[in-house]
Amino acid sequence: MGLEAYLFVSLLLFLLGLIMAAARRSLIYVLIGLELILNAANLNLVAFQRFHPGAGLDGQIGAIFVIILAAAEAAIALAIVLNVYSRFGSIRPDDMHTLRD
Amino acid sequence: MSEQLVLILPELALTGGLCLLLLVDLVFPRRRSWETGIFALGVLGVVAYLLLQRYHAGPHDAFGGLLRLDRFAAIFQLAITGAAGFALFLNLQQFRFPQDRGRIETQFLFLCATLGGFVLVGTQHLMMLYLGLEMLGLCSYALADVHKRDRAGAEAGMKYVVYGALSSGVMLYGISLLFGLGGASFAMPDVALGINQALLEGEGVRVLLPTLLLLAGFLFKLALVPFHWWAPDVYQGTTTAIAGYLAVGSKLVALGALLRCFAILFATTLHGIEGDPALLAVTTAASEFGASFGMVLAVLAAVSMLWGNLAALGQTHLRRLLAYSSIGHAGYLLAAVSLMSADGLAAAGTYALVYAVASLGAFAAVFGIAMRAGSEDLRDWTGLGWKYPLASGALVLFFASLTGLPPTAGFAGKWRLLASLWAGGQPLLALLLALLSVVSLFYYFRVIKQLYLERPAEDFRPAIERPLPWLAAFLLVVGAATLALLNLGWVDTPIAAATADLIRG
Repeated sequence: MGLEAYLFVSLLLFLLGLIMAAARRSLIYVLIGLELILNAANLNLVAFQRFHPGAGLDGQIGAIFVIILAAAEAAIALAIVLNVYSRFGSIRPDDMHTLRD
Repeated sequence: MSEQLVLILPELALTGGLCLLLLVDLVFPRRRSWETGIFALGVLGVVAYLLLQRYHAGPHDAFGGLLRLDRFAAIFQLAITGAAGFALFLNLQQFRFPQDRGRIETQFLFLCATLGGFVLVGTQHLMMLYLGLEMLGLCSYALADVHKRDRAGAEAGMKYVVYGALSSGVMLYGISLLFGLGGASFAMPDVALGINQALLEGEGVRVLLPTLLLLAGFLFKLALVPFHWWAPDVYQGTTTAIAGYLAVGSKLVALGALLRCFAILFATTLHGIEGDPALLAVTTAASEFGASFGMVLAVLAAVSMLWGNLAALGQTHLRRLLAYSSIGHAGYLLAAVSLMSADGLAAAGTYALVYAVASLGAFAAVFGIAMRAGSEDLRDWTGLGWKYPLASGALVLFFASLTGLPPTAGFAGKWRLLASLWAGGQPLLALLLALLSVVSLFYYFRVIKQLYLERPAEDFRPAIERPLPWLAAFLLVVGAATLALLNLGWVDTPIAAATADLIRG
């Protein structure tokens, strides 16, 4: 299997993630879409490294960093979602209109 | 190894300060609210001193090229340190959430976000860039949500984290593609070689797409169209201290990182490869790409300028007004970047610092008046100008600088922007910029009119009676800086020289 196959799957993941986030059904959907985007990038990093042998392990290590960051981001985002739920009783982004012009 | 550690002394000092701050909270749980604030300000003072030494030390690569510590980095790191000091200082006096005043979490988050900003602007390694951006971002999300007892605060935090996480995810996808383009390397110089190769083969799309994705993260941090939606809501939903930090500190380092990225990734576009006729084809391909990519940036810049300035016209909430005005100013900065020339990048760096000083002052002055009026709504500010002359006078001065009126630094900075836009072959953008500066006079003047030309309400009672000597001193210092920086535009400024260093490589 060539590099293109990996890139194709990662592009698919990226677009699915974007669509999920843009649909704004609920904040949890948005966060899952975000995870898909980050993992699409991870797949790219690892695949590029695999097809450039002898260039070190930057891609794999980068992917590990991204996984850790994704966990940290999810922790903060979920804490904020929890707080939003206790204030608004909903986690649909469309239900929040305290701030507007 | 130890000489590498000496190179990152400012970062180490900041990290040490962070850890001590947490320990203080553990050991003295019943401390007075301002004590840790003074300590955090002291840490920032030490860091600023170490950064001054970095400025004079000359360029260094640390940790195998993970960090790039040069004059350019030192200037922007000093600027975000200043913004963090400002935010800590205002946070100690903030009145909207008195129970949160001097809370250690907020102080910790300010310092931690600043550390992220240091990494962001001091690296030419794409993964470090992403890590710095996320460190700054994660702390900012928590900051936007720190006053969570309030519905507006909760909503502001939610919007910030959703838009921010998405844009940085998109940016990471762009980085992963650039990683492949650079032959499995995160180092920007390697990626620049890969970009030249792809351009030479006539595959501009392979460069354009990842670069646009990379841009998403920067556009979000700078609050530019189409990633600007969060700014008004977040600025309004939090306190002035946090909004000021996001508008000044976070924007400045993002712009610094953007300038560095462009200066290295598009080095061939910026100055070509001189003297070698064999490489003429690369130079031609790179400048063609620069022209088309610059067009995309110019459109984004024009829309941001228009959007920010026109939407600000109808605002009555002061922080919301400042948010829209900051979207407009970010548009001016991007307009200079869109020239894709050395002169344009230097003008953007210069104007960013001018804007930062004026914006910092404007936030502090708004804070001072709002503290008396007990509200940030313009309708509650009727006739307060004569009652509180220092804060109101300072606000007039900073608005003049933001508009670009002489004798303030804003005039020099805008002059420099206009000159480089005109000379760089974008007369339309220059005209639009000048026109929108006139438009911005309307909404700034509306505030001034409300302050000075209306009668105060008969039953006006200030929310806080006691004098505020520290705030007054702060306003005087920033006001003096706004006037003193007037000659920044026409002399060879440190920031312009540092940007030129960056482009020469």
